[in-house]
Amino acid sequence: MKFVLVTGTTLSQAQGKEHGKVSPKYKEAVAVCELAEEDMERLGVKPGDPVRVTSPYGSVVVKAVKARDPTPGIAFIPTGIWANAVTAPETSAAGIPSYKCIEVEIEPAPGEKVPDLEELLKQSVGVKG
Amino acid sequence: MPVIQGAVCAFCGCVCDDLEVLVENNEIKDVKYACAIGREKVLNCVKERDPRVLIRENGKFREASLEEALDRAAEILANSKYPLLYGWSNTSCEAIKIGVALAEELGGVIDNTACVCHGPGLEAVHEVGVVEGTLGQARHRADLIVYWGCNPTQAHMRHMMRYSAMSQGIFRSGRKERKVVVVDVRKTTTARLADVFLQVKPGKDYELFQALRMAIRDEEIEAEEVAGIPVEQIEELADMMVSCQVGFLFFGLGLTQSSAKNENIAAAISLIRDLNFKTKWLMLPMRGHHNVTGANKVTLWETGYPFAVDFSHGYPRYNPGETSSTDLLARGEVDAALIVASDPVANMPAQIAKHFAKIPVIDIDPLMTATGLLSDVRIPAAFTGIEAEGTLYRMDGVPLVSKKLVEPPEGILPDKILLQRLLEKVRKLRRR
Repeated sequence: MKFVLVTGTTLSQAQGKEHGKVSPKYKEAVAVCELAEEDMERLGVKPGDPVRVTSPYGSVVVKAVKARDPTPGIAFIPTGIWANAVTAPETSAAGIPSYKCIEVEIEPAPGEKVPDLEELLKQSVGVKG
Repeated sequence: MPVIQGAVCAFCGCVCDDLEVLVENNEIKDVKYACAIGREKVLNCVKERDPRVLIRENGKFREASLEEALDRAAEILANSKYPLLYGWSNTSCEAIKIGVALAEELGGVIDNTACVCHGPGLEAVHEVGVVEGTLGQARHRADLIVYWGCNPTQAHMRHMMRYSAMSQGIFRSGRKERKVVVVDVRKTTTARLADVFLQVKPGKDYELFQALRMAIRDEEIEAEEVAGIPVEQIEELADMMVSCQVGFLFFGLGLTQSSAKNENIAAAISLIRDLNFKTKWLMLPMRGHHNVTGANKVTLWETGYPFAVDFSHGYPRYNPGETSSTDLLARGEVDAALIVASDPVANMPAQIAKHFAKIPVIDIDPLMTATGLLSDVRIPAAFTGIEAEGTLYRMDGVPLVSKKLVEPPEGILPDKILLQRLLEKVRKLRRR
């Protein structure tokens, strides 16, 4: 299903990052995709199920959660490396990439694991050595 | 138990300077008046520190002494033809000043995180000029507050209570004496507290600003709706904006990070300029990191430009889109990176961050981050505002001096001292 992806700060993301980016608390807060209840029903997923989010720039598996600010058709992923697996690198000569209003495809990903920080680094950014 | 009064919070751009921190045996036991995020940071961040100094060898990290790590970092930078020095928004102005000197010495690029947050607002100022205000003006005078593309209840938690909608000002006091308008693509927790909420279509803020400008000039909008908002609602908001005594627009990344970017902010500034022909209006960006405003100020007064400053020609040049860190990384142009108090590997789109895996990276940060995991030299630093004092700029450009609340562990130094030692080592190598 097609969605407009918005990324941004949340309270739990901000608190989680103060515990360190490698902390389970941070992953719990950030490796999620907030969806409106009716969109979750249409996708056939329940809160906690893995979903795959794909944009023209990349793909990532995150956990579906019920949106606090539900707007059908809009998916929200908190700022962080999971969101940035799919955000847009083009800066339109303004220096800033597009972190909001990105067209994405979201599908259920039964059995797929939400990668931890080091796995995601390997998948989407690369490794040294 | 000793209580430190008037401690400064080093989390968001509000830089709240009224915290009370209880310290016993060099340990923070409690903090009063901080928001849920500030409290989490002050109480917990030092416990999560990764104190290891690390150097990558044959693809793997090994522990090293600070001296060895600084030597390796200096070698990487001195041997680089075009290094990027990035981050700076979570450290003190004193450290940033040394960073600028290091970039000039190396003929590299110094850029701060404004590049991925409110940089477009700075670019808009070049285009249409500036209308600013202070949080004091919002607190004491504003009777209409507009939050556009920002969600302070999640990201700037004391903003509404201390500086705007609910603050106890001299001429305006509390929520009853003010109106609050929220414009956002989602009905956020901030929107639920508003008198008026306009749910703008994603990526259509620019159109809505222009429609509001037309309505304020009493021009006819020849459409039933603009950006998903019925024209009657736009006209009602225009009436509210014109008839208030002092209005204040706070805007967030919903404007700078969506498709129209700097043009959204140019339209917002133009709207505020138009409104000032009718009544009094002010505006401010909701700056995120506690010293991203300071990073802009220091870079501006040292080089003439607020971010994305390139010294490769021997003098400062600035052209976002060309000299911005994001574009330099996307084009694969920089050949080494020094990252201070930031995590661009996590915070930039992966398609841009990929270049960090191809070049030597030095990371100076108290915590282990995605950038730290990808670095070649990793140096832990003291937490600015907790273990090291320094000047921070609030989102409205008011400088505040943060206090040292506790001593850092032995051997853990503030960014300012680490950078000064790195600069001396680089200068020595380059003059050989």
